[in-house]
Amino acid sequence: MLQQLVNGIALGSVYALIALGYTMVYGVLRLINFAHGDIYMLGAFFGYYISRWTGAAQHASLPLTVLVFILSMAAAAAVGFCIERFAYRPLRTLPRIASLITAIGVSLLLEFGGQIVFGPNFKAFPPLISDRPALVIEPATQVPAEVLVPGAPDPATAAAAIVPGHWRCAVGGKEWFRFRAGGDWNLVVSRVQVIILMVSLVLMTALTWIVLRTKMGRAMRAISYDLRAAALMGVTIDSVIAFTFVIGSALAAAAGILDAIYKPTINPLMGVLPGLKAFVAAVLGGIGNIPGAMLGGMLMGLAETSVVALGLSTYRDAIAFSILILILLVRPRGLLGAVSEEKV
Amino acid sequence: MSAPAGMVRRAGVAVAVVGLLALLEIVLRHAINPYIYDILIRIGITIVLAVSLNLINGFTGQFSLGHAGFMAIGGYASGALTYHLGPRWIATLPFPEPVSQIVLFVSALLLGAVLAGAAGLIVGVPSLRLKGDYLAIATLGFGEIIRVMVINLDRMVSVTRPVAERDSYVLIGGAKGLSGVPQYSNFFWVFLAVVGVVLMVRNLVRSALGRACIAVREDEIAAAAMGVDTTRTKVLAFVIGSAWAGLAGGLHGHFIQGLYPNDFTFLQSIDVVVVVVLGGNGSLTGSVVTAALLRIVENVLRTLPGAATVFYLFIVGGAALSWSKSKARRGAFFLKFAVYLIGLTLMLVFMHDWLQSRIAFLRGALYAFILIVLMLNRPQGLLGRHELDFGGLLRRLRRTPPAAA
Repeated sequence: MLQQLVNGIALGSVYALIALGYTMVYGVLRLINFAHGDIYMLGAFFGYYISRWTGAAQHASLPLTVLVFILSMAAAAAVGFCIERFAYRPLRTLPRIASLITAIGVSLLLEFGGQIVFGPNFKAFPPLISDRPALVIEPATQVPAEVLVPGAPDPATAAAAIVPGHWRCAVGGKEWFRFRAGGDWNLVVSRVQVIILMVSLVLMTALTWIVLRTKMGRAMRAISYDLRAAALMGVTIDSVIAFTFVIGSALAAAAGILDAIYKPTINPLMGVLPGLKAFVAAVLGGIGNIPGAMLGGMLMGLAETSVVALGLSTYRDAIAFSILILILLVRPRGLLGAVSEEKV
Repeated sequence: MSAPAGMVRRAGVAVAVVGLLALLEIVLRHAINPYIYDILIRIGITIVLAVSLNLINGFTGQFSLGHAGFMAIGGYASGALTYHLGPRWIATLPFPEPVSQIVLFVSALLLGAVLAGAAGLIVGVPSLRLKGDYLAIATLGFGEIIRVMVINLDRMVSVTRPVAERDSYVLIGGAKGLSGVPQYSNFFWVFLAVVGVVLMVRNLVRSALGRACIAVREDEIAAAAMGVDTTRTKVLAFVIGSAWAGLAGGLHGHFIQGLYPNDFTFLQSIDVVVVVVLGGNGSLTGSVVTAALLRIVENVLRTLPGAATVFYLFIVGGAALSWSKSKARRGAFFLKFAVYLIGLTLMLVFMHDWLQSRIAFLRGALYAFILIVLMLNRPQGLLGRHELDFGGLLRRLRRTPPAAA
């Protein structure tokens, strides 16, 4: 149970990072950027090639890992910029359906292009972060065996000496504390999971700061409120929208690398389902709303791991869409979304 | 007296159409390459799907991305009927075997259409309250849910069976699919469906319901103010479109002799949307022509020389289109044109083996590329909302174009 919660939060952080890109683009352009999930895929592939190129794949170290993240995010941001510039900008004044179809086209192009360039097969992602457990809760054995019995401790007796209802919590391999509790407290939190959560929190905080505290963020909010009025007030629409795509793509790339380290395989179609699910997460939280995207992503991750935990893993892709339909019917503006009135 | 005379004339036309299709079936089956026959059938099924989606997306202005789901329901329902009950029906029906087969096939198709229409009703009533992007995403979601249900249905139903039989229980085949569906679809049935759907949608659009659909597309609030029951109109259009999608699913299953969940993914829905949008939202002939073009281009793209030809044509065509626009900058234009041509040729020469090994994905990438380029240059689709008038020597007949919303 506890384990599923942790897995759900790790998965949810990845969804939340992708959902942020969807929600920002939808906020400023009212466009479902179907290609966003594929930017996430590209981010993972950039991470793969850059970590091989920099040597991080062979000897992972913290500076190299950070470098891989920064370079991949920059490369994905460049792709996001090009997509906006060449595919979406020319269509901005036309009916939205044209942009939507183009977005689907871009998504297909990236998927098939990815299969051409990277090859269709699964690739093993290098372990940039070791998968040693960061925190473990396991049944406690009685006082260390060597204290009680003189001579070499026998592993079999040590295992037999597990005390029911007693648990030990170890951080980084060292025992931290013990406690008594009924129920199943078994838990393994890997370092990857901790880092996924930390990186996501840092990036989300940075994004919130950008949107709420900088001039660019204010311009983004103005465009989201009313594009034409913002233009009349001197906001340079083109550069702000391009910036939105750049930021969103960088976040998606970070999510791609984190998820690739966690899994740890990548393939050119890995972005399709996470992309759709992250979009659902954005709708769930209230599309165009940044805290909503984070909340939606977390809820989505938790819902999916609970379905798997219940033994219904063949339904795991249906749960996202069921949530989507439920939320659209009951509360279409999302959990944290503002009410928008229909204008005649 | 005019009504009976009209009916006689219509009956005559119907008999002539059926006779012509039957004749064509016999001739085509024996005279042409089976490969081309196969493409013709696929074109027909795509037309049925596209025209039915055009009723929803083009004429009623709702954006559905879940057509594959309804196709799956119809396909599986009719496939399961002929697979499980077929032999028994043919044995018990008091007709000669070919006639029994026809009765069986038609009832299977109708069952599929009715079930898909019912599913359309269940999906449409709640989700048609949504608009635009939200409706698109909701229908996409329903499409995926239907697919997951299809994969899991056997396991759900097998609970009612004795434990020993559960693993071998086959109702619709689950993730593996249902293979061994008899091949009843042929040119005759597929193009009969094509004629049916085109006539039905054409006549529908000219009826009161069709006018209501168009009114809803142009402005839902204004339509409601004029007394159109917008919900009923949208749901009816959705149900009719879904039912035809179900019928197309049945034709598909009885042609490839099997039903597989992977044939009914999001990509299949996208494919139909692409045909409708490229042909022109609200243009029937656009859908028909694009369906044929797309299936043909897709098959040409199967080989590298074919793909190269399409690419060269594409560059030359693009150059011809942009020629008139850029008279002032001919130097730059020629440079760009030359760079594209030389680049493509160099790529074909030096990367031939590499491209050859990835031809399947190259086809998909080209498909996506063409979609993007067409959207960028002609977002209203090939025909916009116009219709090709085949009667007047393919001269484009300008109907009063509806005012843009």
